Amino acid sequence: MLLSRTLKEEIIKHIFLVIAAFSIFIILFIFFFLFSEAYPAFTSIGFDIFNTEWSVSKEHYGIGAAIFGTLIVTIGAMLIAIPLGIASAIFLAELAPYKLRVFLKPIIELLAGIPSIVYGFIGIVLLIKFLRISFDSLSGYSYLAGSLILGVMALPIIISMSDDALKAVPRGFKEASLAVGATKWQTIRKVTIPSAISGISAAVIMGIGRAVGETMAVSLVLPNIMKIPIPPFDIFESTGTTLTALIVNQMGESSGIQTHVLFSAAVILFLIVAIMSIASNILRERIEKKFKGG
Amino acid sequence: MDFDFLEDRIDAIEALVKDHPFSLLCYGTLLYSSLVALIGFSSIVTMTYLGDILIRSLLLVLFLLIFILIVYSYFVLHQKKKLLVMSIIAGFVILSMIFIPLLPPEYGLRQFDIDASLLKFLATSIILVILGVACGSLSFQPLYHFKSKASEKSAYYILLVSILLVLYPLAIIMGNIIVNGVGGITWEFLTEDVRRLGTEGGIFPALIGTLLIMIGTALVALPLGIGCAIYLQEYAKKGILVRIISICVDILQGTPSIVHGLFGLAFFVPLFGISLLSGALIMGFLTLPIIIRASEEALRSVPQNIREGSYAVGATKWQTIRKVVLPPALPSIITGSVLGLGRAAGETAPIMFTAVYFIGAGIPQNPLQPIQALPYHLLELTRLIGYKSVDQNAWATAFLLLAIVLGVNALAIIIREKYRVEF
Amino acid sequence: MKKQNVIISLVIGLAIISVLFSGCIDNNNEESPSENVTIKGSSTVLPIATLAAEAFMELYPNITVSVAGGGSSVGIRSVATGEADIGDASREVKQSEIEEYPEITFYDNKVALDGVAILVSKAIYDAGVTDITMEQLRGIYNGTITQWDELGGPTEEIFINEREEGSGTRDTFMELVGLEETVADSAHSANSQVKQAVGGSEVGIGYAGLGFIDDTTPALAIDSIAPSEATITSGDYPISRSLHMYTNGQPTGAVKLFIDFVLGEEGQDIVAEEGFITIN
Repeated sequence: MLLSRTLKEEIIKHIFLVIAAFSIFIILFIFFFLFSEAYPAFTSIGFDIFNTEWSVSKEHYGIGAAIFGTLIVTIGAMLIAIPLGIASAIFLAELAPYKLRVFLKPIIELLAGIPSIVYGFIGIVLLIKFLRISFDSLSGYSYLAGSLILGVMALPIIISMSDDALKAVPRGFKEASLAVGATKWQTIRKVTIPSAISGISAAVIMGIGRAVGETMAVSLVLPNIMKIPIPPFDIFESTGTTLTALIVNQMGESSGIQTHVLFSAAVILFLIVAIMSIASNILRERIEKKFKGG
Repeated sequence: MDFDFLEDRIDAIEALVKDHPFSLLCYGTLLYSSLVALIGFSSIVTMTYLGDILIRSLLLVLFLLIFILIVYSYFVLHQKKKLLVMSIIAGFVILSMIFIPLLPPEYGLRQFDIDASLLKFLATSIILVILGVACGSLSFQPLYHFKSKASEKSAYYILLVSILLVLYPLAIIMGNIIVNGVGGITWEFLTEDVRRLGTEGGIFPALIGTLLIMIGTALVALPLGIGCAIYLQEYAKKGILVRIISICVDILQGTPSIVHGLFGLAFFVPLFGISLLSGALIMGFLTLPIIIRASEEALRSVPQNIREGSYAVGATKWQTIRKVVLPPALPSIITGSVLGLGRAAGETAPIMFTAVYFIGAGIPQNPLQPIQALPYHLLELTRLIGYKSVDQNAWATAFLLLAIVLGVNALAIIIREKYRVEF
Repeated sequence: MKKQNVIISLVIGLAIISVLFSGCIDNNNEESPSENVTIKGSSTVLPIATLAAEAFMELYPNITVSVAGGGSSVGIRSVATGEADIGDASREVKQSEIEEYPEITFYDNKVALDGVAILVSKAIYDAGVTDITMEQLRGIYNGTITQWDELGGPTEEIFINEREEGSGTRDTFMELVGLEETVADSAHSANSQVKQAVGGSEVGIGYAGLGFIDDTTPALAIDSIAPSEATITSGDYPISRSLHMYTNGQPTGAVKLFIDFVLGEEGQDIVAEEGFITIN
């Protein structure tokens, strides 16, 4: 009786081991597949892949313009999302009366769930028109449109995670500060925020990750030309694309080397996200240590 | 919502006004500045130019108010240094008042060889908003006699403005979709086939397709994800290996959906063709890390002493997991899973070339057939706007998709709140 | 455990409901196996293929016709690799493609005549720019002409739209206008999006199939020849072409039924409705 029980336990443990191993295998397989499909692009094109010459008919596959696009659009989005997001998180976590917070926090979480295609749709029917008229630009399709949409998309994530980080600061810290006579705002500024900075940084990193990886919304409001605007900071001009838009636009019709190039674009995206995940992981470790240690 | 805290504020204001008539001026400035900012904001949104006279008058009054505050603070409150910021802002106000109407209708950017110009209405409105918010924030300073409490209130004002700025676009998006979309949701819309390139008929196959994808994703991701989490949390020894696995799961979670789509296109489509199966597998892999993370968190939040108590009375590991650890963790696991499924319902990129057709796929008879889906349907309709009259259906599709995704997310949050077990 | 059961039963319930629904919508003959016809390719032919598929499926309930876009190059390649039964193309198959797939015989089913119309924003047309020479058209797209006032229009920069590489419409346009490269501002993956961009702007120009002309995006006459049924059939309009549905060898079975449908009266009615020219 006892023996069969142990046997049963072992079997169950091994079942879970197999399941876990299979899940991890899938993850690793995806990574491996991406790299192996991207590799031929490097061998045939080499570092030329980073220049800005893109012409399918001439077999030039420089994705530099797309990399530039991803960078610009992300920076623009973060210029909007980081100040507004952190400020709103501070409001939510420290200033809002309880009832207001209970009302707002689920709303923000829900808003993080709006599908990107819906943002893209709104972008086309509302934003593009607005930009074209307000800025008197050629078409409205521009990096500015991309940054605005991505900024709004990244906001709920940054707010939600920063709010969690601020809330996680132990009460003791705040009360100690108030006890020595600091005002609430001074406490927030000098005690709460610095304690939560790792969590807030993790939130910002997640926001950047979302902006970099966003596809549908951004591909609909960008002009989708593989060129860098002149001058490069002209965010109004109807030129430009991102890595994600590049992949989604060419996916269905590419073949041969072009597909491998798309995979290398995917690998670049993947590496950016990987670096940020690792950074976020390290930050989270630091938070745990800080608060567990006292 | 109860208004107690508002009433308290109003009482406090009344008290202050009785004691210090000057406070009335400060509050007046606060209200007026906020009004100016609001007017500026509305003019951006409605894209109307307010007219030179109106803008000049608004700014003039603002300047006068600020000026009085500065004068009072200098002579009565004997402030000198801290008035600097206020004076600078006052300077901006008067300069704007003088120079704005002199701006040409199209301003400034074309000379830098930049392809657009800032139209006058936008420039002036933005200035109104910025100055309004700045003055509103600064009006707290003399109110609280330039002490630290004043800085606190000034900062609070700005934070409040921030969250309003955040809520505004979100309100616009939701509002527009609800107002424009709800009319299109009729019984026919929900049950009829797509006709005439989406201009007529309904979205029934897309609706079914989305539901099928959700089910398929659940079938793939839930067993794998929950099982993996159980192993990682309960059985595996903590160490460098588990840490690496954790990082891998994080990386997969952050991977853009288009990358999953590309992977699916290159790997699954040659195997299974464009089919529900391919789509469900890809979505499953996309959702897998979400489920793993949520389940891990849920299991981790069950305190260790509960497990130890169970071992102490002689239960085996599996019995402990099944009867003691899983039940309290279940609501969070379900919440995480439901959130993951909500995401699966709304994603377009992974299924675009691997599972869906815009027209013709209909309802599959087996998983190897293609499907239609709401997010992709919306994408195609968006591409047709201006060419065919799909607007009504596009808004309705957006509304339906939003309703499903948000409904699912709301369900998850409700489950989490209702069944939350506190330790 | 109870909650888990609830969720599981919900999921199973949903699955049952969908199966039931599909049973309702599905047609009467469940015994005969349903056939599949897949069509991929040109976004110009897409509206014709889609609407024809709809009407066709009402006549033949146990044949499913799935239609997707992707561009003429995709269409031709899909037929060659067997991914699709019919490849829509708004250009002819190229010599390089014939050589790339030696075992395939590209059988050409011409289903309509079309012209590549030069669309402009309504504001431009109303301002008097209704005619353009071939040289001016080339000049716009290769960057030598940048402002509308060089053509008698307002003093505004021209917003140039084109189709993406792989588009048959693009290939036709580039070849017949005589361009190797363009300086276009925006590239689109479908004719409808070109129209969307031009229609939504005040200063736009772009090219698309005949069926995309309407009041919001009127078409320019080239060298005084406006695109119309007469001028295209006679060959006077300089940028004309046929629309093709390529199959691997002569069409048979369900594919043949569909092609015959498109070439028949109902199909050609659809062609005309969508603004293209019937072949007769």
